[in-house]
Amino acid sequence: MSAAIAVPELPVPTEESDSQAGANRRHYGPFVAAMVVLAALALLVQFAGGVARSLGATAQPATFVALALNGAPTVTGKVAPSSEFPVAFTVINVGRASINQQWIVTVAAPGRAAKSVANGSVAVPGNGRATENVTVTMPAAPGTATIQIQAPGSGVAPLVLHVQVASTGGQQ
Amino acid sequence: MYQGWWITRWSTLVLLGLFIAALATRSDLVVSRLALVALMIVLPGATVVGAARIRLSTHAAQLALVAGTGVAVVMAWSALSGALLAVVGNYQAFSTAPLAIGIIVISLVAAAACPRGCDPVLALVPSGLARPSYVSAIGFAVLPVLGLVAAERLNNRMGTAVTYVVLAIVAGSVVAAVVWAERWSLGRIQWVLYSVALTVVYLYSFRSNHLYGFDIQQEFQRFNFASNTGRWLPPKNGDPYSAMLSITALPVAVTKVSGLSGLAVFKGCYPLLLAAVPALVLGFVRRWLPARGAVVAAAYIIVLAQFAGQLSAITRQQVGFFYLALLLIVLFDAGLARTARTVTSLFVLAALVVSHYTTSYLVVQTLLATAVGYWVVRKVRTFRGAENSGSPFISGIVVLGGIAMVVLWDGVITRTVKNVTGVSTAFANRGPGLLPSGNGSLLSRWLNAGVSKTLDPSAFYQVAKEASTKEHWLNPYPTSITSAYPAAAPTTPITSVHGIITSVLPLVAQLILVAIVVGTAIILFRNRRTPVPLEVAVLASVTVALVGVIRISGTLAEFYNQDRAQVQAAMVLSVPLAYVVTWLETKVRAAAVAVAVFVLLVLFASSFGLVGGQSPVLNNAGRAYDNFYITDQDVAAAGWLDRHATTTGLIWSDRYGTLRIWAGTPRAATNHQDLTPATIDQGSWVLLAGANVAGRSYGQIENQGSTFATPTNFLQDHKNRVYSSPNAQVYR
Repeated sequence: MSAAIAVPELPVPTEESDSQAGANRRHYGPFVAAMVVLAALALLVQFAGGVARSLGATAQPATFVALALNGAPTVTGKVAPSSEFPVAFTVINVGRASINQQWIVTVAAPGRAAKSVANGSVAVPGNGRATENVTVTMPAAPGTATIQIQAPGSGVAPLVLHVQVASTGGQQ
Repeated sequence: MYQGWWITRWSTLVLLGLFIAALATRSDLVVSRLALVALMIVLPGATVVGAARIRLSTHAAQLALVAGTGVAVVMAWSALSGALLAVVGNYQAFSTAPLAIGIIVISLVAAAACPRGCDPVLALVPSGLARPSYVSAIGFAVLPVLGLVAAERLNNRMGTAVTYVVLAIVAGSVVAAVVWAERWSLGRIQWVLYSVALTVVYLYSFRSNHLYGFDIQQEFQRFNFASNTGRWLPPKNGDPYSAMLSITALPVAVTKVSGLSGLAVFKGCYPLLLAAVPALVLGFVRRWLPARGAVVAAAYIIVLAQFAGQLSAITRQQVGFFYLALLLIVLFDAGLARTARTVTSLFVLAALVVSHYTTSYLVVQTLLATAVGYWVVRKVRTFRGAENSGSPFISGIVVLGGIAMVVLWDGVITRTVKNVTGVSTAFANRGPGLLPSGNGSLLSRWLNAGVSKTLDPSAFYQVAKEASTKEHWLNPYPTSITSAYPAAAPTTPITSVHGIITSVLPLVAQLILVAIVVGTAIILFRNRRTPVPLEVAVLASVTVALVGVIRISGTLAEFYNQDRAQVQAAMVLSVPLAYVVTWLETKVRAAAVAVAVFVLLVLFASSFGLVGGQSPVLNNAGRAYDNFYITDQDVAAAGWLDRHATTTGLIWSDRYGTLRIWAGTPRAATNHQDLTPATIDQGSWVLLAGANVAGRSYGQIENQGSTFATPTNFLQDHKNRVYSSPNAQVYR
């Protein structure tokens, strides 16, 4: 399987073929035209930003709410039954507009349904954050109690904190 | 009449003036920043090439040489300025002034050294185009912008209509280039291929507000580290990423001089180099073969799934492949004087060596094997009384120079040879590991070579647990707890490709492979009846052998991804492929064109998810989307985790959660990726990214991967959820 295949003819410039001023002159027109086209495109790119944004043609940052537990690195420990347990959390607002975010804190004693123990609302500025401090009374029954911090309407899964309630005494 | 050199080089000086003016104003205008990027590459590139009096045979090749030279000069100055400025004090080399002044001085000195009457910038401008050529040139300049718009609209969940239009234009352009290959000029086809290549790469690289892909996250970390360090220094820990100037010194210089963000440079600027590869390959093949076969072979590279899908996310290799394509053009340019060819080849080879280590290893080995093979063939021919053509294109100086550069750069300066020593050690310990995929027939093991083994969730849990027993520091949860959370498949599985395409694709792939092997055999053994130089035939044979070894050796495949090896090899193997297409065309003209178009369209449709599956360029869903599309929420969660976990804190995520940590934090180490109840440390942090929150997790241990349901119930019951956004969570 082989056949005579024509060798293509390509221009092979001689050395210094563009070293003449005359040769340079042939390029003036295209050079100026290229500069004009580039400048026009540049202006278009620069001043069409608003249109591009409205067409979804530019990167647009996401908008969302997040909940974060303060003191998260030290969340392990035990508490005494019926003790006061401080909980601090932050509502983070990623978006330009300020929001008013509701929150609810619930506590579930071992083997029991969750019970709302605190709630409120916090104003969070655009691209800002706000911290809330709540004190929760822990259940009297020993075992693992579960504290949940919810942000209704935000689409955020609640923060969940498991706390061991000691049978007697205990230390946070 | 005498004219000062500044008069005869007015366009160069005008651009230099624009460069200085844009620098002086340091405007926030995007246009000003883009202009600075273009000028900081074109000015040193054009003037140095002009001063060196190098003229390649085609306009596109000359433009590529100018771009490659500009990039190399900027890369070298950015790296060297740190060492030079260290002599005069602890000056921040990676700042605008020293970088820009260096570029200006180099450009001025090189412009002054150009031949009399030559304007190096004007020489780049085509001397005359017909009006239709202007129109199509501008049209194809706009196409990549449409690709960018399509990607951004999909990011903003505004639909895929623009993407479909773009893909239709791309497919139509490729078909038109093949059909009218003999009618269109070489330059026009090269511009079309460049435009469509850049467009398909942008469809990937502009997905997500962050970087899309795997390796690119680590590359971006090294760039940030270099930028913060203030100057480029050889890595002390042998880290090959930190050693590559293409992802450290180069992007730092571009961002510092232009003011563009690193994100913009990685997404938008690197693809400008990668997109040149198919056009350069076309010029390479066209030296000896007619247009149609050459266009088909070059377009084949674009429609390969890994060209846009993988290479868009490996910036070091985008630069490496660009220099490899340029090297092929320069090495085999018969229009260049021998000395000029050798010097230019060594220059391009040097840029390749400092840009990407694996590409350079393979290139140097291939050049050496080709030079030796061609020497043997010539001796045999002499022995038989046959005449040999002139001196070889690949000279001994180039081969020895390449070896010396690899040894000097990787062995002495950066000490990053652990990849090479790793291959040697693996071969010594395990042997070549021939066709390791599965226990099926030889044929199925060949077809599936390089495909990682898929485990069901239970098997993966078991493998992960066995692997974790080697981690003696691990404090796992008791089996009494973890056994209550058995492995499960995700409830929302990933859609995969089914139907006729799954049968046709392997057939098409093997058909092309056969065509390449047959073509290589013909141009080697019946060389005199073909227009292809014998040396190129030897080069193709060596490349076929190399790809074959990587294909069948599981050990070698661990060190160099087979898909990327295929693209690298395709640059050379486009010659035998084009030869076979050309031969077919001489026998069955219309049928050959139809088959070529059909094969290209099948590969194109498959690569971009037009025939099923969930391609990330068309969907905000699917496996690739899960794995590589990083959201603002992912990055915010990873950043929060980084601020709250200690530097030595143990972090777990699934395999691709790691990318979110690399993208959102300075943590460079790989965290623990076996997200199963029995292998998570009790005191650890766990990051769940978007796909994990949706119930899908991915794991991989060595060559065994799995998709399984995120153990959400286990985490909820036994860890505290300490950070939560709608699509990302952190547990402690």
